[in-house]
Amino acid sequence: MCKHPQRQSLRNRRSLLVIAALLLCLVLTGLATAQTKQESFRFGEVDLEFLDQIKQLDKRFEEQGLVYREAQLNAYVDRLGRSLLKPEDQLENVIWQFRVMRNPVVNAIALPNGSIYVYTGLLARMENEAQLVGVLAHEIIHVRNRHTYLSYRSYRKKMLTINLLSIAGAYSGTGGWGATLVAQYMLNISVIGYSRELEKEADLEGARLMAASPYDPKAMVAAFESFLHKYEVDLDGEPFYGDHPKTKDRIAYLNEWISKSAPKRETESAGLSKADYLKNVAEVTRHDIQLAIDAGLYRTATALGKQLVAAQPELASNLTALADAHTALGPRTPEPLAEEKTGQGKNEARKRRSKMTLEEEERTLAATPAGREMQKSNHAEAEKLYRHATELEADYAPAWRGIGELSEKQGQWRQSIDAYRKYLELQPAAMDRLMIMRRVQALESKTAPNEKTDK
Amino acid sequence: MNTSLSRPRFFLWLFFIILLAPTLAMGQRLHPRLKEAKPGDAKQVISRLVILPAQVSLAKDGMKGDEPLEKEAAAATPIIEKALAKALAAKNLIVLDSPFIPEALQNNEKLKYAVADLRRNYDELNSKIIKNRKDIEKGRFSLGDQVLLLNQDNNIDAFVFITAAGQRKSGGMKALGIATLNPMMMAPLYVINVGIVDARNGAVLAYTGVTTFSDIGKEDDKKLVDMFTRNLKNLPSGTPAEKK
Repeated sequence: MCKHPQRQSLRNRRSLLVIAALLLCLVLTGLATAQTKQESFRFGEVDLEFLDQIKQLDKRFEEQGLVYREAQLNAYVDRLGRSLLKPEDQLENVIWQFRVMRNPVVNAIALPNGSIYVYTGLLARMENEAQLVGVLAHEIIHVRNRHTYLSYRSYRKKMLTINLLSIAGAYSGTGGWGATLVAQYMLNISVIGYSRELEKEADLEGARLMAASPYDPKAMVAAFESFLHKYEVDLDGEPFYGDHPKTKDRIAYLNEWISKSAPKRETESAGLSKADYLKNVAEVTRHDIQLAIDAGLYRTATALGKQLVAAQPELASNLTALADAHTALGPRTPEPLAEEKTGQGKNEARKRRSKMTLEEEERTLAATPAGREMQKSNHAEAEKLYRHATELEADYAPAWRGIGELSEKQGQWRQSIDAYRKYLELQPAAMDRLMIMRRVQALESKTAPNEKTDK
Repeated sequence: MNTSLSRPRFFLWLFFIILLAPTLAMGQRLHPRLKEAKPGDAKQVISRLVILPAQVSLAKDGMKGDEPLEKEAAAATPIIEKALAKALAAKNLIVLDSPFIPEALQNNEKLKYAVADLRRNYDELNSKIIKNRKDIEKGRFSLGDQVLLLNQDNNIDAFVFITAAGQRKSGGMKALGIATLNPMMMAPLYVINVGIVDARNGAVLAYTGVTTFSDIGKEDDKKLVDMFTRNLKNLPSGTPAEKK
């Protein structure tokens, strides 16, 4: 029983007031969002401030070495992006730039100032030009429809509501506090929901943009389908309610639109040749393989290397890239085992990733009998590939460097020293010259003067 | 977000903030090689350092959520780097002019990539270090010999990595802090981690982190210098002769 019924009733009334206020806020926030979408976009002070910050971000990407520079590839991506633009896409505060980001993750981002970044991981993952165009079309819609600004405006409104509710909740007793929490949760969900709406819009309008171009929108679906195939064990998975629609849903609504509404194509679709595309992205794929190895995405690196070798098997650079991936793969299987995909397997992998460095993880895996076997097999494969590369192109320095590293890992020090020396002879001004020289010195001290044979 | 604080909790917060302000030191961890070194040792473990471009991210915590502060972060970056350089110089360590400033890297893509890759690898390692700082003392963490890519003349002893994240409060958020008696909503908050890495073998030699509630942004920030000086107290000093 309450000792002060009057005070209790006052609190209840306060709680009700808070609930009513927050419901009103929710409705108003929702309406505000809907209105903004329909009106033509006008820059406000906040948008311009935000744009300023974004320009700085663009500059930071460049300064920090995150932007990939390869004249031919840059021209290629830029040409594909611009082929989708229409004269009316000359928008206020937009300078279209199609660039490549050095990141092995399969992703692309659009900044509201018109800078569209395709990650090296995505370029290496696409199967043909049309799929890449599908991704670019999606990103162009984000910029064209000012999605980042709209999303930011909506976020700000909702955050303001959440904070105002916090104040109300703080002064309104337990009931009001509980209601506030529920409302905050709903608002957070609505922030995500709005982002999902914009993603769907970018997918569907992007598909329309493709349909009006020489490229088939079905390629966008194929791009999404390729995202579903993971080379690594997917430790995170798709969130239950994330800021992007689930990939399967995206495929479903795009397929539905294509079957019901896409205009019938009278000419042959462009950009479907896998071989042509792989040639265009061969160099960036090799670069991405090194980035993937650095990031511990060894299976991705191996899969991409295999793809390169399958397309151009007589290229020393491709063979070396795949060999590097096999060396790095070490005690792991090229594809995830069934037990790694189970809940327990994923938990163990998560623990390893969270606690151990990449080197420690490798040592732990290599200490198991299965790991040792796998390491032997991967190293043997790497050696075969390096040797093949040097047979094709005896002066291909990176292959000699690879042999040096592999032999060092295998404890074949003399062989390693010889390969490293060959590398230095072929590339006396290599950037890693000092690193390799010091390795040679260290190995020489291991092969004591009276012991010149391999250990 | 729980913004309300009862009065006793408010005073408790206030007590802690007064106690800990302006900085919270997260401890200094040294590699066994540095721990064993003595001031004035004939052969110093580190003497010549290069501060790599600091990774600074700032945001404004306002009533309308977080706002990016990219421009402010860019402005704060040299301030933090200079403050740390002063603190290191005060220990008779030689801080070399960085050959890795954006202007210098503009026409050298390979070097720019090498700096970016080393930074990315350090960030990955940093996520492990944060969880197991004590293991620095066991010499557990290393970036490997790839550090030599940035030390081609072999004249650098150590690279210094700075990772800073900060949150400034908007006027509205400060007012909300007052209304809800929550001091955490009123003061800015910066967390800065510093890692010193052997420039020849990549071993993480020293690691320290500080949290400060005072704003960073003033040129010649004396507070920041003092803060770094305190947090590098255990780092062995160089010998004055080496300065020449």
